[in-house]
This record gives sequence, C-alpha cells and structure tokens, in this order.
Amino acid sequence: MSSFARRQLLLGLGAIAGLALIAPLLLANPYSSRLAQLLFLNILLASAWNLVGGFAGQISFGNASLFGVGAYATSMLWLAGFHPFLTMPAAAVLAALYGVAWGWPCLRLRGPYFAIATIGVAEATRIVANHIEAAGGASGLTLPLEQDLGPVLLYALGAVLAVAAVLVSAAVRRSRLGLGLIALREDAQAAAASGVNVARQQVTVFAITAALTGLAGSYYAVFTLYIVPEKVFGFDLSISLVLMVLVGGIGTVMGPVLGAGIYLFLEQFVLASLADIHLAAFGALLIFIILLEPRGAAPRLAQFVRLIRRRVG
Amino acid sequence: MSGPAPGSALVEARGVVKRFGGLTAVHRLDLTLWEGEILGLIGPNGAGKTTLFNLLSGQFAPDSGKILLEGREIHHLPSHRICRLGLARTFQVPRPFLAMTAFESVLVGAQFGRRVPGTSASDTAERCVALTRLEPRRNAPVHSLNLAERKRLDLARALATRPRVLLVDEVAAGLNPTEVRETVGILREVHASGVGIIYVEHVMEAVMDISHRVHVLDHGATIAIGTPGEVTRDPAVIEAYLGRSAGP
Repeated sequence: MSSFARRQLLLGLGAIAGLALIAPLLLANPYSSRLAQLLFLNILLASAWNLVGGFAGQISFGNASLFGVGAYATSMLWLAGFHPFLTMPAAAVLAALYGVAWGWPCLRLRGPYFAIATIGVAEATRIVANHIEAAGGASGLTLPLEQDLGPVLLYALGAVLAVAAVLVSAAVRRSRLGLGLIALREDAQAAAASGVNVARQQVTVFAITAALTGLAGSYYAVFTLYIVPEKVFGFDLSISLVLMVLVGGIGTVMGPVLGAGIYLFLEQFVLASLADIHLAAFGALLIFIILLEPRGAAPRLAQFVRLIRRRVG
Repeated sequence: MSGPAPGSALVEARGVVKRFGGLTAVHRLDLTLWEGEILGLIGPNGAGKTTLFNLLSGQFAPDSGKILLEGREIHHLPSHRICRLGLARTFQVPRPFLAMTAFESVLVGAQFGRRVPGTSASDTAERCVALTRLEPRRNAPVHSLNLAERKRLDLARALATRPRVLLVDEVAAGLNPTEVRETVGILREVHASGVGIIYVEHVMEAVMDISHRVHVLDHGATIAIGTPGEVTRDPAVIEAYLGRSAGP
C-alpha cells in the first residue's frame, strides 16, 4: 500500500473514531440526531458535487436528478421486501447509470451551456417522476416506519458514508484521473493535445459523482422514511449543493465538508426564522462570498492553521 | 547544414484543404517531414501555418485530403489519440494549466501521452523539466512563471508525451536573444534524441539556424521548399515577404 493510501486510511479511521466518540453528544435527542444525519448527508452530497464541479469545473445544477433516483431505488426495493442496506448498492449503481446516460451527451458542453443543460435534465426528471403512478406519483412513497433503523445505526451509516466520500474525493484529487480533470478544467484543448481524453475523463468522474449522490438519496430515504418527487428531485436541493461547495471552497477536498457544515448551521439556526425567503438570503450570501472570498472558506482556514502552527512550532 | 538522407516519412500531408466559411486557409497542401529531420515552416502572417498545425494535431479536421503519421491515417482522429500515437505540439501563445505547479503540468503529458514500456511517468516528467531548464521552477505555481518559462513549460509538457514528432509553434517569439539561443539549444537536444520537428517561426535566425529544410507557405499553399539558403534566395519567397519589385 502506498504511503498516501495508508495515510488516508488512518485519517479515515481517525475521523470515524472521532465521530464515534462524539456520538453520545449528538444522539442526546431526536433533534440533534437529525442534525447529525443532515450534516453527513450534506458532506456526502457536496463532496460528490465537487468531483465534477470543482475538479472538472463543470457546474451541475442537476444533481437532484441523481439524488432522486437513489432515493426512489432504495424506497421501492425496501417496499419490495429488501433490507435497506441491500438496496444501497443498487441505488448507487442506478444513479451512476442514469448519470452516465445524461452526462455523456451533456458533458460535451462546457461552462454555462453544461449548467443550463443540467437544469433541463433535472426538471424533466422531476416532472416525469411526478407522473409515475407505480412510484407513488406526486404523493410519493411512505416507507415502513416500523422498520426504522434507529438513531444509532443511522448515525453510524451516515458517518461511514460521509467519511468515505471525503476519502474518495482525496483519492480522485491525487490520481491520474484527478490530474486529467484539473488539466481539462484549466484548458480543455491543451489537455487534449497532451493526450487527455476529455470526454472520457469527465464521464468517468461524473459516474462517481452520480453513484455517491445516489447513495446520498438512499441514505435520505432511509432516515426520513418519506419521499416525494418535489423534494428529492427538487431544484432547491441542486442549488443548495452549489452553495455549500462555493461557500466552503470549490475544487478542494475539505471545502465541501466545511461548506456542508456552514450551510447546515445557517439553514437551521439563522435562516429558519426567515422561512420563505431563505433562498434569497442564500443568494445574498453567495454574492457576498464571490465578491469577498471567491475561493471559499477552506483556503483561508488552511492559511489560518498554517499561521497557528508557525506560532506554536 | 546538409539534410539527412531521406528515410521514411514521419508526417505526410497530401492535398489537405481547410476552409473557414468563404476563406480557404489551407489549399491542397502537400508537406512531408522525414525521419530525423527538422523542417522549418515559414510564411507571412495568415499564410496558414498555425491552421496547418491545428490540422496535423487534430484540433481541426481537414475538409479534404489526408494526413499520415508514420504511414497511418490520422486526419479523422481526435487530438488525444493523435498525441498518444506520437505527435505533440506547443502553442503559439502558451496554454498553461494555471492551477498547477510546473511539475504537475508536465506530469499531465507524461501520464496521458504515448505509452513507452519500462518508463515511469514521473521519471519522464523529471527528465523533461530538466531538459527545458525548468528545475529551479519545478514546484512553482504556473501562474508565477514568466513568458519565457511558460514557453519552455509548453515544450516540456509536449515532450513528456514522448512524441515521435514535435510541432513547435513560435517558441522564440517575444524572447530576448539569450533566451532564443537557449531555446534553439533545447530543440537541438530534442532532435538529437530522435524526435522529428516541424518548426513554425517568425524569428528567422532561429528557424534558419536549425532547420534542415524550409517549407514556405503563402495564402495556404506551398511557394517554396528547400534548404534555408535556397529559400531565402527564392524570388517567390522574397515577393511574398517584401512584395513585388517595381522594376521590370
């Protein structure tokens, strides 16, 4: 095993151990348990989005379409009698297949053209989902409440998924794939002239994004036990991912983690009182960030940590 | 400088045509790069030199005609395939990956370029960084590199793909005489390692100095081919560059 892989494995195990240690704190009441679940969900979603949005520079406003596929795959299989854990690989695979199916043509576009195409795909997916009666139509699906996995298992599942997403992200960043993605983000033509198969690199990373986003949908279904197309295929969800990553630091491994936390904090404690205008408030926040700190919070935080280390060391 | 004995053709363009709307940028062009050769490609602005490079390296497909690399048709292939078959290029205006370090940029070429069994990508990248005298800037972010360094970085990235043929587009333009000499020296080393070179350049001393043959284009067509000495005396070349003489 390479030293990088060993270090990542140790960091991952350390993170899981840390999350296990603080578990009693977060599992103290149903509200804090739910906050932890939402945090894990956001980390998973934001890290997945960042693979294609941050590394490849392809801004997707359509990840809800992948999230919804994961959520519905798990829900329908669960209702068909499979254990929820067994449905998760299926959710990942189906979301990846759906992602490749529309990512393949759309990723030929770059920049704003790709972004607009993703909105179209996701909205079309939402509308179709609303009309599939076999999947509950617009009223959605209610999952077997009596089979709830319980807060401890859900916490553990979320922690493992979130940590895994961050490790995948770090591994992609370090890999040949990651190098090719950053090259094509910086200059697609020069990357192609250097031997990078631009189309294949993008579709490959999008499959990983889609699989992780599908897992997130699956996890969401398992802890909310109730899904409707308007929520799991909703445009709000797609936008929130973009916001998280931009706030945290696009194109970095830890940025999405940071952004996921900041977003949850704002959503729960600051913007809850603003209710209906919370998206407008996020829009204002986004403008603020782009003007003052376009690289997001992560680089600034890293700078701060280095400063502290220098003072201490 | 005398040319090498003609061996086999590394690159051949046969009757290549490229139009942009009503403008014919390259018109029924034939061009050959022989094994072991440095071929200078010159011509006034708008002669079609860069368009030809874009055709050879797969950025554009020709409207008609054929392009062969070591006898294999490549004109229908995408750039990355052509690169992996052994044809690499630099750009007139360097196109760096700004978010990377110099070494990472070169590593892109080494990891995605032509596969050569028994060589590791990082060794190749190190060698190309050294060859282009970028060692002192190895870990510098690309955005901090100056023009001369960016030109050498473009060259290093192209070389890291382990090409059989290198297309060099105005690598000496905008450099001072010392930098030009250094760059020409690098190209000589590249050639000595067995790479065929097609060299587009407006800096005449550089291109005349190292080219075995010079191919002169004007308005997308060939007007002269010969040794540097021959083409500089060719009336058609003089006319293309300076205009027709007023006398009889």
